[in-house]
Amino acid sequence: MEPDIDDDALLVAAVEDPDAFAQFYRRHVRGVLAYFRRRVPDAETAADLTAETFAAALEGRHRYAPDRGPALGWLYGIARRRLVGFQRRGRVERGARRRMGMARIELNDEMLERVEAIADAELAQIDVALAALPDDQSVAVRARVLEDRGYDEIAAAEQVSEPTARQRVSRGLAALRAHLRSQEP
Amino acid sequence: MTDFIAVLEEQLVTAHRERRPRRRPPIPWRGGAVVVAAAATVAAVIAVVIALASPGEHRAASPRPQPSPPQTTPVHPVPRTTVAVLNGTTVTGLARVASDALVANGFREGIVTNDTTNQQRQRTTIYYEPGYKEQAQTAAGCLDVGLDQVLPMDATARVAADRAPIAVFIGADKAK
Repeated sequence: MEPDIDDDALLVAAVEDPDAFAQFYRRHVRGVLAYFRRRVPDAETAADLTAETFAAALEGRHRYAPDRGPALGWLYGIARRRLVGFQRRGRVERGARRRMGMARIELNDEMLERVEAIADAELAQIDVALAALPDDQSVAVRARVLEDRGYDEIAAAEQVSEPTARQRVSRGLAALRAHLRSQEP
Repeated sequence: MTDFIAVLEEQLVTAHRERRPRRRPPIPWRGGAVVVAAAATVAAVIAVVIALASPGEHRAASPRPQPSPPQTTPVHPVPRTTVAVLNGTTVTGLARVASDALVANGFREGIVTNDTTNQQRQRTTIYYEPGYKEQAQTAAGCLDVGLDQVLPMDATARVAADRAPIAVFIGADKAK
């Protein structure tokens, strides 16, 4: 069982500590994979984007500042930018992996099936977990993480202030994370 | 079964370990250590190799002092470490040129200014904070500076460099 250190502290520690980065990665790789799988046509592209996202996170880890937002938001910000890049150019960027000396992972059929299964399971879990959240948090998390909407947009739609929208997302994600971790074998 | 998630984790951990040396807690630099003298000797030999070769990979985790064939690959990208560049001469523009060369090789731009404490510097010197020696040597390779001029940061350099982990003080050798 890994120590229950929060994501923000983990990412700060990950600047110097490869094991901390690995732990951060293990916590979120399935979520990021599912995030992409929901948005791109095939599992291979989802895996490719996931690899580039974590390479970029590794490369830029020293730029993460906890006082500017949660680590998970930072990570999904990177993921979103990769997704937008893919949608614009029709191909997955490889710059971060190249700079970090990481080869592209060639996936065989078996690996692709496994990626699909992980993404499906994660998405199913997220749906179940989201349903268990209070309505205001569920709506906010769904809008922010699954629909890529800005805090200002969420705030306007829910007729609350932007800090309140941020708080709902933050609390929702914390609850979601606790729920998902309680499901781990 | 090979698993994408496990393979990617392995790649990330390897990249983390290899691409950026762990920083040690800052310790005051004390000059004259025998170890540094030995390192400088090795560094001087490496400098010759680098001077002879086109910019090449020389992440000096375990530098070998034997001459190697010229390489044609660009300087290895490094994590974006901030490098301050100070012009220690009265020739304008030298710091900007050096900083641009470093940025082109993956470094992050720190302050680029005149060294007001010394405008008569003869040799370009690169200072590094503990844990940044390897990257300072890479910067030296980018700027064609001998590794014997790559030195641990001292207090004066640290202040002048606005606490950047690597500081380049341009000397008259770059004005030629």
